[in-house]
Amino acid sequence: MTMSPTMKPGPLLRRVALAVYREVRFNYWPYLFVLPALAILGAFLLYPALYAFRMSFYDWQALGESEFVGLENYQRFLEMPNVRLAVSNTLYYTALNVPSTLFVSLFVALLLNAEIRARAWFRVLFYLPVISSDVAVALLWKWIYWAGARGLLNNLIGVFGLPPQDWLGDPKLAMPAIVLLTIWKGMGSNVLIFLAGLQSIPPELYEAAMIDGAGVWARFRHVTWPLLRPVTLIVLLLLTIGSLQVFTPVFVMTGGGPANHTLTIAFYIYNLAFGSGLYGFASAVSYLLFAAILGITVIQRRYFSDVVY
Amino acid sequence: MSRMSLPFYRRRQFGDAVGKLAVYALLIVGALLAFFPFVWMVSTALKTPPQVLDVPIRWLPDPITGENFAAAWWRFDFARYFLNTLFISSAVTILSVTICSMAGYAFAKKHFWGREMIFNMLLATLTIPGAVLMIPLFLTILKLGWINKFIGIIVPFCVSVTNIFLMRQYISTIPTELEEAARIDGASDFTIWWRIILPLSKPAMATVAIFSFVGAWDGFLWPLIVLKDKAMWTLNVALGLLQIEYIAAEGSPWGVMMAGSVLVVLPLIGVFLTLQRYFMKGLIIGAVKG
Repeated sequence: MTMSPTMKPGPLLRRVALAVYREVRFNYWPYLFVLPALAILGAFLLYPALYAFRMSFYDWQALGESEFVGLENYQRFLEMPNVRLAVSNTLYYTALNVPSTLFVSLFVALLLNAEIRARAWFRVLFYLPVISSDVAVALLWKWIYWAGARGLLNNLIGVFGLPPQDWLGDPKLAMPAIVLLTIWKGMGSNVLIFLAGLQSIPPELYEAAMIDGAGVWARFRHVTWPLLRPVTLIVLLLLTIGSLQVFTPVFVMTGGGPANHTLTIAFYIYNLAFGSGLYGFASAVSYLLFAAILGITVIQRRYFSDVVY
Repeated sequence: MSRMSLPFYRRRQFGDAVGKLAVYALLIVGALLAFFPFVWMVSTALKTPPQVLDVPIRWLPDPITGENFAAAWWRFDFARYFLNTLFISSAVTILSVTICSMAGYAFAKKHFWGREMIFNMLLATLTIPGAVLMIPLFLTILKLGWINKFIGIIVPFCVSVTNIFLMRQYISTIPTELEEAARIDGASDFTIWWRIILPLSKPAMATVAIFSFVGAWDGFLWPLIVLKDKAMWTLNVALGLLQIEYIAAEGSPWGVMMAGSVLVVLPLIGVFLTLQRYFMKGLIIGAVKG
């Protein structure tokens, strides 16, 4: 304990007694300090998470009695009409979004890490989409993607003589179109994380590599990339976890359409619970998503097992 | 200095110049791509309805009109949604800064039974995805009778583990001597927190405040679930639901919808631009150490 003895005058015995009392008395303040945080996190994070686990074993609907059904919700998982579609769409979205955002963010971070002027300005510009609300930018891009000749994107590709596309109405284009929005929206924060990582690499290493005659690519391949691994892992995890839960762009831009081609797991859970009232089944799907996210986190961490935190 | 022979040095300088030019060119193109959708947002918001549908498109509205903003603000009741959102975000921010700095102080400086265990448990909860919480949290709020009430949005999300972590990291850098000096003067832990820790952790508080405010302002899925009554909506909920309704009804209400989007985005960008140094700091601490 780091308590200092008091130096007030007084009988020795009283001073000793006071010091002993200070050492042994129960200090309740630390508990009071953490209590509000723990109470709220317990009531609105931990309890609901466990509650959902219980619900996933019940036929729990918005109306009527709930009934214990064991693993039935999990067994029914693959038989439900759109589950496979939701899973494959989400995986497709993740497979498109994670590598492309990672690549673009790293590339921009490398550019920003060069000795340039106005770095702060560029950083701000790249960060503007991140700070903007999900709903507003999804709506903006819905307007940019607007079908027919009036959409901005169709106008731009029209300059090159390309025919207008129904970006969000075409089953083939809808998901890539959503991915393009999320790359634009999510890039800025990953750029900053990469930039922080890049700036922590000692410049002597680059100087040494240059003396050895290493070119730009060799320096990236043998200095930057290996030293950036911890940061890459973090970006990879954040992107994957976020991608598997994508909801807002789908809600605003396509509503899961056309013909369920952009139906994602999170949107599916939302519809199951708040559209169909199938709380128990929706909880089971939530837990499978949770398990998938945990699994992927563990696998990615193992792949990067040499990384020290 | 002497490690480079002259021709090599010259060659490098030339290569540097070309390389730097390419870097600037790529950055400028990238920055324009990042920025131009916003120009389109504002430009559409300032156009009259016929101009919005002009083909070929025009970037600059002529004449410039404020009618979309007036329509969004009054006819679509964004004035109310703006106040709702402002109230929710402010309440979340005040609660978040207070609660997270108290917890952060305890985790950083106090030794108490179970500290490590509790803190590790908190960090473990970071892996719980929001999608898992959606349904049980809704049922919890339903039981509490908080559906359609702001408290149902404010309380469940006013504490975040990331913010506690951020406060803890910052407070642990404050020298312990200051606390000890106060303790000799007979100050309680609460007085020390209030008089010493709070004033000295202003930068971290600013970061937590901004993240909380922006997070609450940005929220969509949860307000969408809880706030059923139109009068209680937030800006995002209004925007997300009204667009579906009006695109179905009118086909192309983009002037008003973009005006609404500007109203949502502008305060966020304003907060970001004025306080960005705290932003960047928090982002790096949160991401790299979290």
